[in-house]
Amino acid sequence: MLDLIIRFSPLVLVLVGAAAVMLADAFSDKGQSNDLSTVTFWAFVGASGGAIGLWVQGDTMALHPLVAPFLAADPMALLLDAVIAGAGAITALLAGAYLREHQMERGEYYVVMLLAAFGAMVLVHSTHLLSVFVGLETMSLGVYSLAAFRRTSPRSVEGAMKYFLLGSFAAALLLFGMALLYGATGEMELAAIATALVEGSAHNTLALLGTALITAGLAFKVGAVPFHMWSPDVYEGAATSVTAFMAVVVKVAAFTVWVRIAVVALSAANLADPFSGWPPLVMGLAVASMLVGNLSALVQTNVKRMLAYSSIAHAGYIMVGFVAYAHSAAGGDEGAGDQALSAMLLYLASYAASSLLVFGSLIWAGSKGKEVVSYEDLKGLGRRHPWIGVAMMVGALSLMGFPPTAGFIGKYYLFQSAVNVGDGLIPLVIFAVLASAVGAFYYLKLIVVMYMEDQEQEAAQAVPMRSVHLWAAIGLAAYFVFRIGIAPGNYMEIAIGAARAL
Amino acid sequence: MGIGEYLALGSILFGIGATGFLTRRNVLIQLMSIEIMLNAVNVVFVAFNRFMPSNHMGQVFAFFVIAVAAAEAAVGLAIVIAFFRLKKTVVTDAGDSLRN
Amino acid sequence: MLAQATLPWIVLLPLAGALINGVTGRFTSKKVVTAVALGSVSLAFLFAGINFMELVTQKGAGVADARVEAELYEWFSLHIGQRAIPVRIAFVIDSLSGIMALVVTGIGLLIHIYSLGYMKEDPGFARFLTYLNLFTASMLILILGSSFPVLFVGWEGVGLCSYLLIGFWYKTPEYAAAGRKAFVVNRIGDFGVIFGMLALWVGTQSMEFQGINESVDMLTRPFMLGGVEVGSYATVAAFFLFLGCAGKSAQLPLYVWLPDAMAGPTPVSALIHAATMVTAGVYLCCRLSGVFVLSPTAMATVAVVGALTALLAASVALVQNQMKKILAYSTVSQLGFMFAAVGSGAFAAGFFHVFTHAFFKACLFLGAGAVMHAVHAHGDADVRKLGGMSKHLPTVRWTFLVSCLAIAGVPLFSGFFSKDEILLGALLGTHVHHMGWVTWFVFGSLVLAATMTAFYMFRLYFLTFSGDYRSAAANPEEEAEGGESSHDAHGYDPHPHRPEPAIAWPLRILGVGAVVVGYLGLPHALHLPNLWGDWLHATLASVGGHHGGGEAWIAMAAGTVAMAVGIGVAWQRYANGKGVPGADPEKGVARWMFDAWRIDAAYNRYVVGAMRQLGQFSAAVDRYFVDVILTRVPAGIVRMVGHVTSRAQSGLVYTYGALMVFGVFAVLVWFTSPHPSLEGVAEGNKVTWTARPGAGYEYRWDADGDGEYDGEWSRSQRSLTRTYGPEQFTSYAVHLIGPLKRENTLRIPIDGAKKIVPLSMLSGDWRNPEASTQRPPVIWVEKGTIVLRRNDASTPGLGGEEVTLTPGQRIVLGGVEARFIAQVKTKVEVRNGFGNLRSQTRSLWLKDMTPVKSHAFSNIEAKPLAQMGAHHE
Repeated sequence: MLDLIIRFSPLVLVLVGAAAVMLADAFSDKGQSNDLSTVTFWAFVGASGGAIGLWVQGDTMALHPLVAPFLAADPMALLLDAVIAGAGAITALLAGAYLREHQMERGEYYVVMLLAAFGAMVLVHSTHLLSVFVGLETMSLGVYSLAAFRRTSPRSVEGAMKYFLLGSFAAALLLFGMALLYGATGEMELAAIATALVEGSAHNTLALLGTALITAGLAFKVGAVPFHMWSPDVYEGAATSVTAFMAVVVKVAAFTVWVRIAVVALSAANLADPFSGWPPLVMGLAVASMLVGNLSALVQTNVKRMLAYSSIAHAGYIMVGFVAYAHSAAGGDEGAGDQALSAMLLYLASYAASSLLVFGSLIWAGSKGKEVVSYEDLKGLGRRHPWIGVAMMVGALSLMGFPPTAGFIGKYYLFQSAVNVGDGLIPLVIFAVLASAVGAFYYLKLIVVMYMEDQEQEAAQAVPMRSVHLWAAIGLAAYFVFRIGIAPGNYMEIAIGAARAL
Repeated sequence: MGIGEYLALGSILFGIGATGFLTRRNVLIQLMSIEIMLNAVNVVFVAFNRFMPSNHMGQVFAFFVIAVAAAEAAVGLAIVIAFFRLKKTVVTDAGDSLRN
Repeated sequence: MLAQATLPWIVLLPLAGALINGVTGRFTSKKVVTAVALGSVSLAFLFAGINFMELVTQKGAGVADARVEAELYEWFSLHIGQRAIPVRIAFVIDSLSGIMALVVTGIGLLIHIYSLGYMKEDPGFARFLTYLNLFTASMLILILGSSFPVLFVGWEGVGLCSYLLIGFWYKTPEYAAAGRKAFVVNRIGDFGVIFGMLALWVGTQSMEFQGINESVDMLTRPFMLGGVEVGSYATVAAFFLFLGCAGKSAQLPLYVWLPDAMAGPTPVSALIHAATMVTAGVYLCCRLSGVFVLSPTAMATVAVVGALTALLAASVALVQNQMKKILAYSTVSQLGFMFAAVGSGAFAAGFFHVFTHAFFKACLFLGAGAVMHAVHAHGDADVRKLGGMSKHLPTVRWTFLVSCLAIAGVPLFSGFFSKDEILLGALLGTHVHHMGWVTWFVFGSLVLAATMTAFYMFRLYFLTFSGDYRSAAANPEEEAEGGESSHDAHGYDPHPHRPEPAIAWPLRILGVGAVVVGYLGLPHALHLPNLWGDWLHATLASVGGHHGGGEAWIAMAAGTVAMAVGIGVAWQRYANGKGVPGADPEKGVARWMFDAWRIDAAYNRYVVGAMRQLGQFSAAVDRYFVDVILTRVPAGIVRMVGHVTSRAQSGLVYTYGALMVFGVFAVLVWFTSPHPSLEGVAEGNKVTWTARPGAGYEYRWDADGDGEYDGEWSRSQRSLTRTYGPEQFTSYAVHLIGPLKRENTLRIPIDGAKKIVPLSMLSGDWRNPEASTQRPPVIWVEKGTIVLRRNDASTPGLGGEEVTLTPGQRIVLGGVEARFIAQVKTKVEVRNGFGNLRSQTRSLWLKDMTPVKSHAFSNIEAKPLAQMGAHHE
């Protein structure tokens, strides 16, 4: 029992943190709530530290047979635990600053955030359809609630409602797919499903239908086109600190579980064939996402909406790595396959850091009464408040993929892994590069508007908020952006170690 | 009855739920349609378990789905109530201010 | 060990100092700024010393290749195919870089101290010290880098810092322009360094210097450029690297930035353009000496260019009248000496001159700066207005004199020993570049340049220091009027003031160095210990014939004679205040020499002018073509598409849901339909066809082209191998493999129409020599066989005007290889578990056929024309 708690200490710490925050909130008066943000932060830091510690320890002994079919504590889970917990920590700080400033601070926020992050962590650990479902729903329900947190704002609630409706729909699709897959193979554990599919004892039509529906359901969560339409509305409507959480944690967890399912369960040659299985479909989703994401982001005037579309485009780039993995695995090239997977994981980490930096800067720039949400609000910000300008600029450059930031390293390794596969994926890589060149426009527009344009005199100017939590969050995010960008070697090794374990 | 009939039942139910979700304008009806979909999935799970009785995972999963559906309904209704408070209606189309 | 722990800090401390002073320098007091800057460099010097002692210990213990290594982290990995080659940020100190590190930190420290006095009234004091620290850090990165990329970071860094420091007083446009010129010319050299780096990378697969030096044999392979051999890898790499060195170390033709660089403050000239940055080129050559010795051509080029530069720059210095300009050209000339030595294989000698030159040239520049500071001259000091400084500035006078003696090569001073080694090396150069005339040319030029060096240096010394001060109280009335005479156009401050300690002590230390350091490399021929050569033995490529007997005496004699002649003539003409030059020369050879042989003007007119015209043309193209057609139009299109795609987002849930369902349907359609993706691989007459696997796929093949499926549905027959015979060929073609491996496939119509082979597919001399007209060959199919009418094409080995050919046959047609090939076709039908069918047909040309008999073709004629025309790929 103790052994289990230690092996899953990140999860346990987050749960304990949630309970602690719940109690603290119940027994405290209003106005002390900033401590909750700090407690949440430390809970996440502890979880992250636990994950890193477990990684370093490298315990590979088998888990207790009750837990073993459902959850795995392999290096990939630990790496993503660390990423999710790290992102959660920074988001907790952002929330602490944002909620206090906009006077919506209620303790439930942190509890729900911790529990949603718990759901995300269960997702990355899961090796069984049931734990996937439970983790996914836990995370999703938590995020639906968070999206509606600002219950006095019609847009927030509207966004949450759309998210909830469409998300439940997608969850039902995913569930039906899982049922069909279970029916096809008779197994629910991912590895056992793979065995059944490879051996050929599975019922083929049901397996195909199940795969189709599962892919659709997971593509929704990730925000791939054409399942993406919830994302701009929800990102725009929700409070910015919630948007940050959604953009990072949900995407990371959803991609991880998709990778686990596709790499482990759906790895049979007849399902994962690079020309007739799920890879061409993912390639199609990737191309559509990059296209629609980048093109729609060009014409937005609301920054949060633009960031939502850009995150759709980023999902497209990550799917390119996914396709590269599939081609390598089918060709028998384990090394290139590991490289592609690790590039995906590294990209997720760098995307997380960059997004948090950008969202943090948006939060920083506004305060009670006037938030920064559109390009109009950003005009001249860089010159009035240089530090905010720098933070936003670094974040935008990183999302764009400009050296020496994390985004560049992520894109470099991702595209390189696709190129290494061979001639077949070169057109895809060229398309991806062109798409990210298009993407440079709206990121550069952020920078240009901040430094080279001025607001009209009568316009109400947003005053930045002052909060130690916020500065700490921005500092952490910026640190990671530069660390991954300038010295990625270490992180790359970790990512490869995680990919190999799968 | 063979597995096919149960599968057909499940699929039809799922289709009904999906159609309801897509065509109805009342949020509560849409919620109900989602519940129908989830129940359809439950039927499928239990049916498969009946014909592949090596373990009980199908039925166990059905229990979990029921529990999760309940939680989902709770959260969903809370959101609907918040929506109603602000918009004074439960017509889904009332929420269309977020758009391009 | 202590050395290893302190090694990275040699670089990191000045870098940190630059960062701290750069960010906070504006706000903190001068004392703090000084403490940070001086402290970081002093500690770096201390650590360099510690590491040097470690090297000495190792050498004492008998380790030939003494080194200390410290790695910081892995920067990134280059993934080539399967291999991942890491690029690490790591520092190595060995005998070569150990000396350089001490020189850079030590002389750098002295110059930092000097700057405290020299720049103390300048408002940009903190900025200056920041840049100096940054420069020191970059130079140390360059020297201590263990791999080429790290060295290149330092290389670029010193280029950047020299730009910042030369144009330090950027408010004056000429100074800023000088800084820009330095940067741009350096850039041209950097292009060379990059190409050299790439050549070495491709040649040896390694970026680390140790790796390169170990696999240096791999560089003797020939380097092919478009199929033509242009030399060995070593030659190509060495040439490009030397281009880079020419830029950084101011050799012909990229030296033009150095004289202009005197626009910067004098400590900058001393540090960058005397002691450290310009020697980076020599350092690079020594570091890669193993590469250079493999290419006699490159070595000869280096030697000749070095000698020419030495000669040319010395000739210009003969007639200059500004102190720093003379010293600048002198630097260019001395660098030429160093490269001449390197090119002749005497790497140790060249590097020895780097070492001694650092001391005496820095002392000369600092001395000039002290003079300028004393008389309040700005920019540069005109020797015609000086004189008599020996009375006013004795310390400066003695250190300047000592350094002049050193640079002229007076025996017992350091310059004598290093110049002697260079001359000896030049004489022995034939061993390396194998060209006798190069040896004599280099030696002759160097001796002549040495003579001129002695002359112009002592001319400078006498004009500045001996006689009377020519600007002293020239107009007593003006002086009485209010002491405004310090900066008037006719002279300098009539009362020069003594240098303060911060200025004087570095001069003294460097002066001592200029005398003493030469004793590290005493000439072998006199059987005196040569510590220098022994120290560097393991790190530099060794060239034979080092201990020449007779040549050593010739070299020593020539050097001494050159020195004596130069000093003698200078004494006769300029000592004791005689011979002050008048106005700048107007015409004739003197004018050409004064204008530095008009090389700068030529650059301006031809190179810069051409660039300017190109720039104007490009601007026009940009304005009218790119901005409108390539920018506005696609931008408009993209924006329109963006609006369209974003219009779908209506805000209503059911729209979103509908689109989702559409997506689900698309996904379902994909998964429920089979995808054969048929591919064939041909081997001779045998083709292996493969269809993709899938869940529940069943396959049915029609491989013989008869329109009927060969077998029944089968789950396992995913791939099929079949040897094709003449009955299954569906089309013919002739496949021509032309020069430069260009391939062309020319289909031969199966209905008997005649096809002319285009001349573009044949070789340049396609004709039969006896032919009178110019008719190309014609091919067609007749009665099932392929018939070729030669016309005037040459077809060796084939007789007759018309030849019958079979598929698979290879002939030489019109000078190119021609194969007659056939096409085969297969169809596969796939059925998946849902019962959906999909068939795919593929055709493939059998490019490597073995000839088959042609008699079976007759049945092709029997098929109706409609079927023959109904082929589809």
